[in-house]
Amino acid sequence: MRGRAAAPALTLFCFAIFTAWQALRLRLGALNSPGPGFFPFWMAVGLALASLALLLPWPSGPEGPPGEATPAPLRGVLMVTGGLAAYGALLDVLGFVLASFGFLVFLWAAIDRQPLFRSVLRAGISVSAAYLLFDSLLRVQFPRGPLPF
Amino acid sequence: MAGMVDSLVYGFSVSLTPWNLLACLVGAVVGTIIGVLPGLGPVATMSLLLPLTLRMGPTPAIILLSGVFYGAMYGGSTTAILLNIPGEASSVVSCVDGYQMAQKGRAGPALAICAWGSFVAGTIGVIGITLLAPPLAELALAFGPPEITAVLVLSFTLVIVFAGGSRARAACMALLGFLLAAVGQDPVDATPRFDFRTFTLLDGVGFAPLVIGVFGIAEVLANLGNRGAPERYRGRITGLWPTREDWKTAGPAIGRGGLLGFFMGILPGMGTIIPTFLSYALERRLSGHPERFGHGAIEGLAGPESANNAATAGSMIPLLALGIPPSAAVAVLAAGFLTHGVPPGPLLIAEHPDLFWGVVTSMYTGNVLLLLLNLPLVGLWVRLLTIPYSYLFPLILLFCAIGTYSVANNPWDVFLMAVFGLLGYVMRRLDFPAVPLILTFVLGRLFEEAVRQSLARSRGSFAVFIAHPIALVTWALTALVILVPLVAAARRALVGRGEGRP
Repeated sequence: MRGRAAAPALTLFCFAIFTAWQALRLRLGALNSPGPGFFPFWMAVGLALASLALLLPWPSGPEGPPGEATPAPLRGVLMVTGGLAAYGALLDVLGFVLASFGFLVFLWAAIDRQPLFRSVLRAGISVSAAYLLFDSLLRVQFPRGPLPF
Repeated sequence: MAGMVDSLVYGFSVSLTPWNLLACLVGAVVGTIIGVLPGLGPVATMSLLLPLTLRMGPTPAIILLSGVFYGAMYGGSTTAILLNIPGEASSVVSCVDGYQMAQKGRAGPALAICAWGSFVAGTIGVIGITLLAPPLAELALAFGPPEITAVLVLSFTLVIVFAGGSRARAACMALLGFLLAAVGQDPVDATPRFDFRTFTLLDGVGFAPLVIGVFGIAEVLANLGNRGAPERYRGRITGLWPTREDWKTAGPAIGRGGLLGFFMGILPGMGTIIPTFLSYALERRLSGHPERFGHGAIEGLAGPESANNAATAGSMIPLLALGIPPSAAVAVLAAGFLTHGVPPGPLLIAEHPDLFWGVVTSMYTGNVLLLLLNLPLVGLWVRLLTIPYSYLFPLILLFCAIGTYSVANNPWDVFLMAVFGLLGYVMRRLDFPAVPLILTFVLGRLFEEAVRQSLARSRGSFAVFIAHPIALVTWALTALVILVPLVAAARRALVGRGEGRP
């Protein structure tokens, strides 16, 4: 269990040290007159200590809900997250319709391994419906991209 | 009392207008659907709908979002009973005896007792809010920054203590939430912090990318391994009216579960899960036949189901009266209030009585609607589960992206949502609780502001934090919350050592 906690503890510790260093560049002020860097600095110090505490055996609170029975494949997790990040990056460039269409085709064809024609068909229908619902009905302002709509 | 009845009548006159009734119906139906379907919980759905409610007035918007919250509690139990799949984490306990009842051909009474139990618990909740929120709000009017500081410290402590699992992990997540909230302009003198000279970070980290990422995207990522549709329920659902014996056994359990859930829901960090486990344990302890539990005991289903519905109502009290959300779902509601320019808290009742009483009474209307919808449409809800997850997850991801984007029309938020989604997934895999992260993120700036304002007013004297009796009592409660588990653990260790001695 402690071995399992080592990687996140170390990651959180590094993040806390980096944040504390960044906070030090702001004005810390004093204990009775805190400046803008005071809270982030001490919260980061607290996080560094708490992350080290992860390696120690502490009393536990009530048990949370059970976790997932089947862990998701790491490749799929990374591909979906990457696809989503790329979707965000391309949304302004391609516009809502093209970016969403490409994103859905990617998810169905590459992640779910559906035949390309079926993926394209589903993506076309889904994007049209989403466009009608959000743009035409709910008046969400989407980026247009090269298309006129 | 007469004033309270007048307020309720006024509330119903608001919540029963066609537009508000429609918002309530839509919220309850959407809540039931996401309660039934895996892959999107109420927190993420409420966050998704939040930007879409911008074109509505504040009252129908909050009514709709609240409807999703308690509607999900109803939906979660249907799949727990029929398929042994908890639609929501708070329905995990319902699988134990609910599924056993269905296996014995008693799916109808199980579903009916859940619906009635939820209805009664919802009613207890509404009565509780009506009785408790106005006096609490009146008391909160006397709160200044030092009292707010004390109440927030108590909230953070409760959230860490009751987060479930390791408290060190919960503390890490709470501190991470504080640090994420610190990004952007300093709340007191607007000094830029952690913006790395970018305009996007100068505005701070958005609520929607964080919540939709940590709850919505992480849920989708976690479910990627389960591609197919769950097994279809083959039995027949008959006898949707429980027998007299059922009522006799389940009735008191519903009352106890409702009261327990309501009061526990008020406490920060409790959420809707812990009350269900406690209610189950309570019913088992009080039962004359504890051996029936786990084999289809109707009170083992009725108690927890009532508890989770009453907890949703109870959790509204700190928000409506104090402006402090005690759970992640209520934090989304708080964001809903703020998005519509109405800060939740002690002034809400006086300044926006239509919104306050409209929302409170809509919860009652919503419970009636859910009762009318859920039992006749149970077949439809179960059929929803036959849609393979592979059809759904790309659409859920697209809706999450649209919901996040439409808050500020900023594609960077979609990118940030993806990052938080991955973080949320890793947190789930490593048992780091998400609720402390969200609550400290929402309340972190308020906390910093309250501490700094208190010190500025007292010219740096810390005595200001204990000058008021309310603050003093709150600090004492915080000390109790910290000390009781420590003393209990030390006692257990001593007893264990004593037993180990020859």
